[in-house]
Amino acid sequence: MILKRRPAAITGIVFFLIMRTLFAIFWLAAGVNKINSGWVTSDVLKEVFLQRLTELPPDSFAVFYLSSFAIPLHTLIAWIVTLGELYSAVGLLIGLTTRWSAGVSLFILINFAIGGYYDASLIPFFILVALFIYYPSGQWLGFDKPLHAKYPKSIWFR
Amino acid sequence: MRLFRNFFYLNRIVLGIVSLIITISLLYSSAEVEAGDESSLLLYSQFGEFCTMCEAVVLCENTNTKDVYNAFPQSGQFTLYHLKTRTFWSQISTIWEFFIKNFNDDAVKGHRRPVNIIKVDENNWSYPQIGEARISIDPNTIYIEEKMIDRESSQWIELVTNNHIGFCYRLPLWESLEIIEEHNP
Repeated sequence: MILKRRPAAITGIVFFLIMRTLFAIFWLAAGVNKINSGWVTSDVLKEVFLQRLTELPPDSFAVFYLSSFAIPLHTLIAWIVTLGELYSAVGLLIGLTTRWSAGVSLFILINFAIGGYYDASLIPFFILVALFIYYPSGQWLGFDKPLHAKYPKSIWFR
Repeated sequence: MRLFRNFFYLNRIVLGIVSLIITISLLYSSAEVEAGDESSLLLYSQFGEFCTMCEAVVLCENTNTKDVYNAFPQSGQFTLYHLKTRTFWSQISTIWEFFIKNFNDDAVKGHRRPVNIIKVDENNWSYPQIGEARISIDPNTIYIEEKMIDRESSQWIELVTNNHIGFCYRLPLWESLEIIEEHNP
């Protein structure tokens, strides 16, 4: 019935939710892989950064970022990225604190780009994350809707 | 009451889907094979991924003996291959490559990227010819025009005759790019 009245809007929402789910699965796989690769329990990330240093232009900002910030703090960064990806994945998957989850994704993506891990594949990710932050998709499908109804003043479920 | 009932059903459905996805992800991830000898291959990381934005300069020369170049040679007769970053759409396609690799380690076996080919004869440098390199990890080869580089043995092979015509070496990237720039401003 609703589909007949507003087919474009419903189709858009369904497409949006499919993209949100795919993005979440992608992020979940990335987070799980990082745990399995020993990111948070070994110096793997430091090795990744050191290898990247050899591939970047020596005078680039990414080299400065990696050598003065990312490499010395690689353990902390490994935890933040891994937990951030898992939190974002679960949040976007079940629509719980959806916009905050997207915000964490944006933070991680920005840091990937600054750290020299930029390429054109980040563009669709940035667009998707911006849309996830802008639209209240947790209200369309997910836990945000009932939780927002229960806690209307909370900023977490909007 | 209705809210609670809806929430309860939503809980069950969503948690069921999430549990299924997490379980599948964990099973596939734990079954992953460690990156092996491919860790030292050109443009391929020790974590089993092609480097999208990396570049490399490879020197190939007609010789029967395998030398080692730690710096750009002062003179000689050789061919330089400047392997460039992947193209825009090739970079976009890495989203799928990265995704499918989580479930099937062997799914991504290669890609194409632009390459500049420069022929050097002592002090005579040809103008860079733009070509396409096909890089593979199964088998470990790089195809450039009518030549092939064996990424394990470093052999340079003529495709038409399938004859060994020399060896190829990776040069220090930034130093080599500066020298190439000096000769082709």
